[in-house]
Amino acid sequence: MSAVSRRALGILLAIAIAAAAFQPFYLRIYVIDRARFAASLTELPYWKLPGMRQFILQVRARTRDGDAVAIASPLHRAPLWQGGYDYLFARARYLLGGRLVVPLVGEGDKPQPENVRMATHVACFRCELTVPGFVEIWRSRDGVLLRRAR
Amino acid sequence: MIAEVAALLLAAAAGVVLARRLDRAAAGTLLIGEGILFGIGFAAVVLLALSIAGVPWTRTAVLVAMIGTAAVLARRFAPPSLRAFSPIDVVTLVLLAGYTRFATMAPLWEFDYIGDFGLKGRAFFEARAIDWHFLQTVFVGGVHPDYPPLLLLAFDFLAISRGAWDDAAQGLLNVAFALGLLLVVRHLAAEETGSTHAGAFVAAALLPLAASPWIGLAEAPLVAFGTAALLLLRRGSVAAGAVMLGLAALTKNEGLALIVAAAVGLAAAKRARDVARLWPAAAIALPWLVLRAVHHLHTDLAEGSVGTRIAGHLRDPKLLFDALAASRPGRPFFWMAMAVAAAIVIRPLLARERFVLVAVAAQLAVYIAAYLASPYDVPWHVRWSWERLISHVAPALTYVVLVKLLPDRRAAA
Repeated sequence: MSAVSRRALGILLAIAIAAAAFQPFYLRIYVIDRARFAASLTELPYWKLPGMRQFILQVRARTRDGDAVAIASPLHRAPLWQGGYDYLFARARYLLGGRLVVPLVGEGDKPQPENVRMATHVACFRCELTVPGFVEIWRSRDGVLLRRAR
Repeated sequence: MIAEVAALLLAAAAGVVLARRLDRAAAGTLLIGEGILFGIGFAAVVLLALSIAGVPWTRTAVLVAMIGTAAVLARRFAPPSLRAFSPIDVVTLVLLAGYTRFATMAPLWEFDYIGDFGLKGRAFFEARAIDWHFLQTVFVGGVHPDYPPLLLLAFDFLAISRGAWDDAAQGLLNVAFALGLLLVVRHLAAEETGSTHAGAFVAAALLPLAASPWIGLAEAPLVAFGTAALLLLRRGSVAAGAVMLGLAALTKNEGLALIVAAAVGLAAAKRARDVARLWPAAAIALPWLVLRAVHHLHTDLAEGSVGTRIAGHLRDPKLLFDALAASRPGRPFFWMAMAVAAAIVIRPLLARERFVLVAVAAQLAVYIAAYLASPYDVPWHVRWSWERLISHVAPALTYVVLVKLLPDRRAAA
């Protein structure tokens, strides 16, 4: 192969690598519906439990830094991505940043009512709950929020 | 996002001062690229040092520490000059702007951000320090308390600058890491080929590899620090490369492995003397290793009997090989093109790129060993990590193949 052919082949292959690596999404993003796409990305981590994100954000709005929020729910323990209690708890923990987030369900779905002692609030997702020493301060169709009685 | 952009500019300015100290030969886009990467790493190290010293993170404390250190190190401040421009740079800029739009479009959505990196970063921000109690007592899995903290501290740097946690603005870090790496790549490729256009082309080609699709995860900084480290070491800029390696190690455990892989690569390239000159990498990585041991932060790969797991997986290696064969290491056409290109330039690659090739091979060997030691179901572990692991080494490999394919104007001259 001559030097010129080798050089042309090299350039062609370099262009092929660049073309194969090319990410068209970084161009397409200029023409997509930004508001709609942003909304779908915002809900993406929570989609397996519809209503969860809004519920926890409302809990956040009604609690303060330093509070301890126990998370109650009839959901079962399951791997983090399966929409069970772990899914709810792991995501609530992030949305409730600044608060101590306390689980009420242990390994093998064993209830951990003793953890309520740590809590200043109990957020009950998809359930209703009465806990001695706590009063209901807010409710939505997705659950209730209790606060330790003063 | 003005506060976050201002914070990144401040970090980059401090980083340029460090880059001038560490890499006397750096100029132009290389100096700015190194400056961005060093600057973010420097900000994270400042927060780590303040936390160790028991000084609460405040805007004033961070500013005084960063500007003070930079002022001591600066001999004179001369802004880097940018003379050569190629029309191909427009392609890179348009794509990078698209990436910026994507990375900052919404509160960060990856579960590993919400359940791990972002969660810990936010807890630290609320405590205005590394919250050891949080790391030791965090309920339910998915959190890796032992993971190196650079990315979390970089999130905190932005949050402190704003005075609040804004998880959409945190995506700017992905852009900064990609930009820093691309500027380094652009300069090195132009230097090596003797052509500004070739340098711009290599940067444009590497953009999808530098602009990680996993927004808010540690892949972007690891790729940026790791690739910059390998390319700077390859060039002979050992001090700057070693610091980049240290920052990679402060980003992910895979970065720790990269220090060893780079040392193996240097030895294989008959540059054994340079191995000792990697000491800054170990010096940057060491404090976190000590801290995580002192605070008893567990490492999942080291849980239980590692030897028994490795022996068990070695007895049935087909499980691992089948999982690797079934996994997708990114874009198939890209790897096919890379394979054909590597076959064409195999002689110069083997003759002159021993350092990068051996370092990449050693890094991949560590990843395979980690799978063998994995306490998780191996096919599951491979399925959810292999593409990301491959993304760590893809840019360096692509770089060396591209510069071998492109004509060397210096040779022609």
